[in-house]
Amino acid sequence: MSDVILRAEHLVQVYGTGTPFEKTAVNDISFELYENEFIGVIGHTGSGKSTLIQMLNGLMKPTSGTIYFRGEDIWTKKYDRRTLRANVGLVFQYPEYQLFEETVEKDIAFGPRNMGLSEEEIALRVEEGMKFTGLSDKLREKSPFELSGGQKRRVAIAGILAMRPKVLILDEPTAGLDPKGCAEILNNIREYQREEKATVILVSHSMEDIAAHASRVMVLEGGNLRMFDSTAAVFARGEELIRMGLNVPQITRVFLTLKGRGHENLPSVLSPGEAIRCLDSLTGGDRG
Amino acid sequence: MSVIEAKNLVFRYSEDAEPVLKHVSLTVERGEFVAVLGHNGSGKSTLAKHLNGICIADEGTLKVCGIEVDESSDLAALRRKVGMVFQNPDNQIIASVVEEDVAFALENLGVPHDEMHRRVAEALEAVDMSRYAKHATYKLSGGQKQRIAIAGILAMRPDILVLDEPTAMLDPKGRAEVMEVLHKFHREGMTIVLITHFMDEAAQADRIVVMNDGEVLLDGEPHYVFQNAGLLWSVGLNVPQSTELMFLLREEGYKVPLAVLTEEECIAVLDDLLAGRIGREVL
Repeated sequence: MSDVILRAEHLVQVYGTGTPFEKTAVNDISFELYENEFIGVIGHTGSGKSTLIQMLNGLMKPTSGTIYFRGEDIWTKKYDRRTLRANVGLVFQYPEYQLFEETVEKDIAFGPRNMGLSEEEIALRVEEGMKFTGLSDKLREKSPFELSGGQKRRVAIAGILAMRPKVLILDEPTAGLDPKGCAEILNNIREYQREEKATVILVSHSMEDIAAHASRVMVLEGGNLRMFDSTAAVFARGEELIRMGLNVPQITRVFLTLKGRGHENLPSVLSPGEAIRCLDSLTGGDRG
Repeated sequence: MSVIEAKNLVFRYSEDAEPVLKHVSLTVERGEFVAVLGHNGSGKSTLAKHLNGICIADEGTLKVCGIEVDESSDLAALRRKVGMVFQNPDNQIIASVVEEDVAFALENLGVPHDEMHRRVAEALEAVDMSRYAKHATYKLSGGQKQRIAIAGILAMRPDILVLDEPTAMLDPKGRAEVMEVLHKFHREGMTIVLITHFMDEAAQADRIVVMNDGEVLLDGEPHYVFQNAGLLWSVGLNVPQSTELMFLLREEGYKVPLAVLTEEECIAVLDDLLAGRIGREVL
């Protein structure tokens, strides 16, 4: 078993305490995340996803509860939260709106430079960030504002990867991108995760993307952690997810319906590739 | 009757740039529900922006609801006929109270007070948001905000509703809510042009237009368009998972139909397959 990298104990976040607008955004959530795993987070708008991820990298202090990064409480007085933010990288929704430097290179170098790294190391990190996000070297001197939407998004993600975070949190990194752009960015992130043995936390409304990449899935509803289990186990509970305003991939729904209509021996599947393997093994007997 | 007639549209954002639209021709009939697919930068949003005169073509002709769209057109009249809804609901909400937001355009148009109230009530009813009329807009969910944005457009009683990725920022429930509203308007006879990256949404339209590098690559009903899976994959698009499974089954020699889009269609085929009613070629 890998080591625990992040541990959350009884996290609570209450907004507007003592006012008529008091709202519990995150309600007593506890979990452990390991090194080298890919976590999916799903939940409808307002379920507490954004609040939770902002607490995980120390941007927001929980109202109560404790977060441990590698066993250390991140809210003790002497804890270095600046270093934590390099270790736990957070890519916000539509991160391209946060680009500001004159060139792609400078923008990606901003994080590593803030970490106080040498120029040599910064150059290396920029190169790495560009490699992981599939940005061509020709773009290095360009203004990020001249790039296409998809490229801008990659520059923004590269800037976080250049800090070599051990935990990478992404809030809807593929919103508004075409299918190929989505697949490329997610594959890039997967590659980073594997090479660096990092922990990735992917927040997404795309059940297909979560099914394709995550090994475990957290389901949030009304600030509560309703499920946290293997991806297959979570998506096998299709009806519950739909009741929560969520969904399961189309192919998963097809198999769940068939199961309910008398094909009890069908397993739960997450992708067309998995579906064909399962159908093949069920009907494979008559192959000549 | 055609409500959109585009002939050989060519458009460049600046004089020395590559054209974003390269001789695009397209006809849309009144009451059609057309989905437009294409990779980022394929020209689909640019095409949509021509429909209400945000962009004016460099070459070619465009007629929308009987109005010739060019530099001399009455754009205000055109925009009353062609309502546009964009991706980000937060950028489209102006007022702090739902009914005031829906009334915003009507106030600008100088619609009389009683008439305005009637139209706002109708529009809210149409998007199933009547009970939120007095609510604060900032408290709504993404799907609700997007439906309010649609109501604001509807209140102007447009002939055509053009939506540019209206569900990109929404959760699954919000997406379903918006699609439900579009189906309802379509049944009532509205012409709808929906730009989307979601294949399952496109599959629900009457017709799909696929754009690639400024040209129309495919144009036809969803079953036809999605049978061209190889071509769609080659231009960075995708097919619904049900369709993809049929292609994978074919590769394994199963004699399944390829024209499968919806869950129900896929379930029917797999039911036959599991019952041994579908043959298989030994490959």
